[in-house]
Amino acid sequence: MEQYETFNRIYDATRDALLRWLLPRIRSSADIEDLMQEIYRKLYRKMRKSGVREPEKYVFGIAKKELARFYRRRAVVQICEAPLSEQLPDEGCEPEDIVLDRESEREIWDLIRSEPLPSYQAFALYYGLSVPTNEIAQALGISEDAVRKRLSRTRARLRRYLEERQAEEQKGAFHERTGSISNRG
Amino acid sequence: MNEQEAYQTVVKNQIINDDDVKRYAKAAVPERKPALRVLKPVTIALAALLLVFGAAMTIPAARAEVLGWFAPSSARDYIGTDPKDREPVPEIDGMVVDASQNQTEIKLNYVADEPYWREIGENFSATLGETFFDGRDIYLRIDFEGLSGYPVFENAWCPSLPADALLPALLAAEDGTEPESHLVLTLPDGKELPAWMAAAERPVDGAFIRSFRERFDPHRSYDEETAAAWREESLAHCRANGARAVADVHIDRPDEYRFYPDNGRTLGDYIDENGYLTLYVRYWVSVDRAEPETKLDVDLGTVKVNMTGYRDMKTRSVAVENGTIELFGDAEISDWLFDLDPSRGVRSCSVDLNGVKLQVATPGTVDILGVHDLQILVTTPDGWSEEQKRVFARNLLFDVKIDDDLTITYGGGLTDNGDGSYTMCIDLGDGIPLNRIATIETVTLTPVLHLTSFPESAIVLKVN
Repeated sequence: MEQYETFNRIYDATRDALLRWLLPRIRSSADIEDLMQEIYRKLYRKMRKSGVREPEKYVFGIAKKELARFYRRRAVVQICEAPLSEQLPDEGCEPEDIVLDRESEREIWDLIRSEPLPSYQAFALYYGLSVPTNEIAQALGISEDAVRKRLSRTRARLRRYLEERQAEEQKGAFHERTGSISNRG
Repeated sequence: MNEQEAYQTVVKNQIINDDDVKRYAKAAVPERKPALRVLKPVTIALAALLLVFGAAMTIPAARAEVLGWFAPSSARDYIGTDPKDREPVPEIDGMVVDASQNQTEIKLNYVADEPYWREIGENFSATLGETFFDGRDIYLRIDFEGLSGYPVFENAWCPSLPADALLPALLAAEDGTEPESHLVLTLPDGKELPAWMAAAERPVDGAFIRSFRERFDPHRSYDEETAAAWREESLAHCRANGARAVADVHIDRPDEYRFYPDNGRTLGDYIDENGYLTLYVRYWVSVDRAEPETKLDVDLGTVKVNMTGYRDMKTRSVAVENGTIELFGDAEISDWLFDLDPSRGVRSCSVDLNGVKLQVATPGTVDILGVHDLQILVTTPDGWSEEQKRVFARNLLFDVKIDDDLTITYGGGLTDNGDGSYTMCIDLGDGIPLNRIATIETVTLTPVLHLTSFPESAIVLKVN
């Protein structure tokens, strides 16, 4: 039990830093959880078997090896992406009073994950880990302007989704209202 | 909530499932386990799977496609693949010794007096297969029949297996502990060569793994009931199919390989006049509670290894077409700098890449197993600190492109030259399908830093 608690403590202390380190290095959005699972599994295994003197440092040592191992036998897949427009896309109006449930969270996340990899990485680093755009640019090896364009493009897509969802909800509420009126009628 | 808060919430909640990560790390089940949408009766599912797979294997085009999935790309892969399922490489086959021709009897030395282990011990069966020495490592294939193969999969997280393969039987014993398999190759006088053993993927295992992959929903969490179902299915798979493992011992030069404690002899002294080494094979399984407890101990028999045939392997020389490249622009590199200062966390270094030079120190050679001993000298400008030089070298990768269509990303293998420069030794004895090595013409190395490649700066080598 003590070991569990120690592990949980180390996990909570290193999780964000490890994510921040891993995100620019992954080749697919689907890889991040696999990598995190394997890294922490190896850490816990090592803690159980022989103890680890400095676990926070050990985590990153494992992470480097695991990353190399993970991608070593994978052929590089060239992903063709339409070139980013020179102008920032029309993002539409900023939505207000957003209410999220589990389903809508999942749907928004699926949209984010389906973005081209650099866009997904930028969005996750910016919103999930509060990394400033200049640091994202350096981590991804692209210009800060490109980071902003990617964030903007992803936001535009998400705003379209939120607008459509809001419209559907309002339509549903209208039908419910008119139904109840007619019931009283 | 406003838009920013919404996106922050979504990313933080969805990017990874912390409970799943922690649970997976701590579970006695050491490998990732998918949630099964529909749990079919195990016997029906397996029978159907094998029927489909068997049907595919009898149709020439389908068989070729199935075998193509498993094209060996290393000595380990080659030995781990059944001869009937691999495209032969005659030069390797000429050096392989098939131990199954002279199989000696298995001797059960010990089995724990527990129902689970008794079942394994009473029904234990294994066949020693081929051996191969490539000048660096001794390889031995072992086929474990039925449930004997169960503990072998514990080692199957090794790097030689495809990273996205879901291994069927990487589960704990019934009492929740984690079995660990061991293999040692013993010389006639008792001196030991501890081997590292890993499961080899076979077509049947590959199909089994892929069937799980198709049912795996990465967005669902797995629970204890699912893990139990997974375990039962895996046990059933082992009962029906067993497991194949490849053991290997890194030797390098037999005439320089010494033992501990030193007996005054090298491994070369044990090779007979015909160039063969005789080894006794011992296998045991332990579980790790307070301290290791042996659960099973078996003598598997004797094998011979051809220790001199590798000297006749044909090698092709490599000519340098473009051997020196320079990098340009700015970069931010991050690393854990515990070597320099244990108190520091992950740091970022900003560097100006102008003046960084990557140069072929030795072009290496190509033999039937791959590209070997290609050395790249990494030099950085004088104005960089020791920390920057070290971090840069550690972050540097190469996309190694073989002809036009196969790229392998390579990193590591660094040697500090002591003068601020580093040498990266690239060995591609694993990764290139063996059946195409003979036709390699060009090797192109493009440096990569943090997933950014520098295609305008590429080292080009021509294979003669």
